[in-house]
Amino acid sequence: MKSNKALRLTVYLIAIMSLMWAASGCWSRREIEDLAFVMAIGVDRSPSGNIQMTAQFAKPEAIGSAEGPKSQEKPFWVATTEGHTMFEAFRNLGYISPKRPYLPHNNFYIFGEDLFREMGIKPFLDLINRDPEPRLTARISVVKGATAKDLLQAEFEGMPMSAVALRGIMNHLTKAWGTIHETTIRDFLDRMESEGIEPIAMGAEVIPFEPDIEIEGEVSREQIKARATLGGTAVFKGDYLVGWLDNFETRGLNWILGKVNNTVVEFPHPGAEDKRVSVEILRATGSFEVQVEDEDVRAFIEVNAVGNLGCIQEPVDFIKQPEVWTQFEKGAEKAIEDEIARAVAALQRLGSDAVGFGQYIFRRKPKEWESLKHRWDEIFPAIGVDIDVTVHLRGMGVVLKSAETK
Amino acid sequence: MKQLEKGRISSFQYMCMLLVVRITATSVTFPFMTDHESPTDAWIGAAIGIVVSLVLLELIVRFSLNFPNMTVIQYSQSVLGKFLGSIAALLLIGFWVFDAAVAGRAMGNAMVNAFMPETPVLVFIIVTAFLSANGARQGLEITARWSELVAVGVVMSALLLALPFQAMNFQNLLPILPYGIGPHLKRAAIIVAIFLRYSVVGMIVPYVHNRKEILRYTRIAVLISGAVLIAQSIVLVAVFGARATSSAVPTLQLVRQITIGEFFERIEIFPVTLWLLNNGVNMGLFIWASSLGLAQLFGLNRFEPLTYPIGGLVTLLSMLLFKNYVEQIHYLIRVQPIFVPVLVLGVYALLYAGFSIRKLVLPKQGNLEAPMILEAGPDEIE
Repeated sequence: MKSNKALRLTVYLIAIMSLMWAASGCWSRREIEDLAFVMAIGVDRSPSGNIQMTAQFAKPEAIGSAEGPKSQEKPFWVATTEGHTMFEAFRNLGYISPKRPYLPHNNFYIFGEDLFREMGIKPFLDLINRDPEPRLTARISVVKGATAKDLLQAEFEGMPMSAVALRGIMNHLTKAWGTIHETTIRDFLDRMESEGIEPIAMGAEVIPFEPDIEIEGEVSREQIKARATLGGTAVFKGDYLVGWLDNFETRGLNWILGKVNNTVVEFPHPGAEDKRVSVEILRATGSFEVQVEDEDVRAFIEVNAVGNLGCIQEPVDFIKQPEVWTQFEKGAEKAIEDEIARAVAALQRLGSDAVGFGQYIFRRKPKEWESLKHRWDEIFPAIGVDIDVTVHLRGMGVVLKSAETK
Repeated sequence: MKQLEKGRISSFQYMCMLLVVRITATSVTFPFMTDHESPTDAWIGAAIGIVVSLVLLELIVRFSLNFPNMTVIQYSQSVLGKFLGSIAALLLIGFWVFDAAVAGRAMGNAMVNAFMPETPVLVFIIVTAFLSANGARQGLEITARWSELVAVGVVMSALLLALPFQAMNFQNLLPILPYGIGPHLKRAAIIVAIFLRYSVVGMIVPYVHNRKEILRYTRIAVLISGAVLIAQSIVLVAVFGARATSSAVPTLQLVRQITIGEFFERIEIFPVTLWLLNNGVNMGLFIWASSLGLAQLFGLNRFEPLTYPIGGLVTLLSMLLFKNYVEQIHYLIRVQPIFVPVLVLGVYALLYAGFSIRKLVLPKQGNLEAPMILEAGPDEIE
């Protein structure tokens, strides 16, 4: 009995002692005041040929609180480092940032166009994919004609935090224009690794301000040097950047993929020369089919859209001339068809199957895809496309007739 | 002989334990998805595996029910004799210890890989093993009640599966069978290997209160966990497409994709809690089974003193089994689907062969009840 008691005592002692390390807190703890929250990461090629990483950090103390005077300080700061790999470059931020750079809140991965002159995107994606900190729901974007560093130093009116402002522009374009294809890292990787579809990324541009323009108004704290915008699409083939779609080609792609929500379509006025009509599309569905008969591959694209009349430059009396309404619908259909045709032609010119015609075949007829996929680079640019667009215009706003001169 | 385990569990608790044991094996790693061709229709492989497992487990449980008052360790000796029976029993016990170690390491590695890179794996495993051994020491009932609580996690994981709905694209599930049935058979083998962790039912059966329901609840457990498995494989593909095969911690990645209104996100804490709880129950059950098995095998008076050493053994094994993650994933994908079925099915086939031969050769002494009464099972049949 005695030995039993001794044993018990030993076990209890060991158990209690083993709890000691728990009292000191957990091993990999991170305190919020020791973290520098990265809002956006930009990647460029440095002059020496290494990876140049630019990180935009949030400056929480400058965001200010509800009470107290509003801070005039920029709520973010930007740091640039170099490294041979993404990981090294990211760690090198520690030489500049007194707090530990912390990635999970990062919203944007932005790549400079120059980076892809000679190499693909694969070497830059592995860290984002492998490390547990970055989120795959972050967005991926390529800057056209500038470096990611420039873009991250751009400022915005109304939303001082530029990574948040970029997200604002992105959301707005997605909801109100459809001229951008919102791409997360996950979407990008999924497209890259899937059969018969090529990756795309959001396009971004820097808008430099003329140095001599005086800006008055809200943002008096300091002059904005450059703004930035999103729009268009960077088209990849494999992991190489092969070209760009402009805003409306991007919308053409989005029509096909059914990604257009609300947008504005404009076309020539059927009743008056040099005048134009804009309609507001409220919702649209898009789908496509690909038919393979022996060697002949054809794609059938179908888009259905519902909208309202937005504005007309020349008044029309719809009560006397109801047929003009149908002409408007036809005009909108034609405009959308042209956009889609332009988008497909651009992709065929770039040789990148970003729509996923190949994927369609792979999913429905995997056997045929086996025989086609080795020659897909030759087949894709020559695919014939049939586009069928139906637009229904419903409303005309709150007036029946436009204001007319007497 | 003394009655070692006095606990009684309900058949519902029995089912909960089976559910948790199965979910543990795929809640962290998702071996049947990883590194196989044709991820898009992985659910076919899963379905094949589940059907096969259902049949195998039906056989195992029915066989165990021939000896309603004995654990598999006890009847292995009465069926195969002292020598062969002991070998069969040791193989099974070894497998349980080993399997608990593998699951513990998978959990520890995932914690380290995904959350706390600086923390040694050992910390997570030691804590779990210590708590589980404590639970096991108190007998089966503790672990069973725990499992009832943790089974809520099964409901939770089903909920988590529905949440990344925004990221799902069910077109990703096409094509079906692009590479034929071959990859799916490999997959099914992994699933069967996972379900064969249920060989531990041989230890639980005598302690279930209402034995008539055991068969039914085994089937329900296999079907529910199978449904979760199929749902997981469908959702993973719907969300990740071709990338579903390349993640080391797919279920966690899945939860990370949840963003609802740019507000409801970063909720990884749920699956991680689930990992830890699952693993606690899982380890507890296996440590209990191994300790009790050893005690019965060597005719000890108590099994409780064995739980801590076996917990320690599980901890050590889990540290020593794999040098790195490459070895671990290699085991899960390449070694496990052959090793586990051969071992478990081999032992049970041996037992069954012994049982049938005895029945044929000794029809007159023929009631195998005799040794059963001698060795005094926990109690009489209700």
